[in-house]
Amino acid sequence: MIPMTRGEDYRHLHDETSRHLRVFPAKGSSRATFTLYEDDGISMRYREGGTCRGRARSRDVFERYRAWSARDGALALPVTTITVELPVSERRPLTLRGEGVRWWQR
Amino acid sequence: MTRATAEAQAAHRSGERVYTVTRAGPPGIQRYAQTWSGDNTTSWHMLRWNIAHGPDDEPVRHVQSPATTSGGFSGPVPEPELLVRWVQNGAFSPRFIMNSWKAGGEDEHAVAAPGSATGDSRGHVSIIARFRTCTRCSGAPPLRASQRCGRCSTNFERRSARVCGPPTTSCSGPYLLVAGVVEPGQRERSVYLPRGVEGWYDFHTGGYHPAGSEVVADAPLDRIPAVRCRQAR
Repeated sequence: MIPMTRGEDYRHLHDETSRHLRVFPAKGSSRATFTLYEDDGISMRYREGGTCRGRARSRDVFERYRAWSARDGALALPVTTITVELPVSERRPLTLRGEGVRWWQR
Repeated sequence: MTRATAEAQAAHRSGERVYTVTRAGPPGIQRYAQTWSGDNTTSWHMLRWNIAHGPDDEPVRHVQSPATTSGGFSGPVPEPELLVRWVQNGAFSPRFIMNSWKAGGEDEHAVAAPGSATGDSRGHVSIIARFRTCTRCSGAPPLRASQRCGRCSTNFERRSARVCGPPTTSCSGPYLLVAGVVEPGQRERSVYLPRGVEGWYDFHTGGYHPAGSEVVADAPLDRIPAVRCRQAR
């Protein structure tokens, strides 16, 4: 998985609220975990818990994908939208589960 | 000197992170500064060797984030195609910089004006914007350095050295392999996809290729070949 953003505007380098996760799943059965880490990028508060983390997991034959399942740290999640992109060749059924998952398109 | 700079900066702005750069340093320099190529010269030859420079230095000096000055610092003003290819490569490096000093006072940014051939590089500049936000806020940056690809680096380096001379393919972070385009007029290039992983996805098209294969990737002026490895688990 490669974390990117949806925004392409330099004016929002420091307050971009989107995350775009490019997922490259295994061809066969597999389990994978990815942690998306956030902090303010400027201060030293990350040493004192000023962070948050989200974990993305895929299981089995990529049938289930838990997009955002956990957080920790003292920092509020600075993201309002997380989108997921799969390779165009991926045809297996997919279910997104997680906090705030409201919509997806195949 | 670099350590003193970092410590002085930390003392002056104690609540903020330190950021310094240096063009040289011994093992351990990564604790105090990011490195880059220094003042390079504008030429296709320099682009080729700057790509080789980063991965080759990393294991020797433990440099975590090498970078080069895209377009070259001194020398002639880059032709548009050269600037495009340099920017494309720089887009996947951990630090993208573009500054220059030309004897005639020209500005490289004039070459990159909208409507010029270098408009083809704008898509890759947007990649920088999309990567940088996440890199900035990530304790484990998605594109950490031009480090080698974990388990596959040895195969890659041997084959690359034998076939291509100086390696023009480098890793951006642990999973992304970027194949530089270092010759004028080149619109495709052969890319060896190292073994040691399950396979490789084309970063642009999503197409899948088995490890150990060699593919000919399209390299139009608006694209630099890149693949993302899928590690077996």
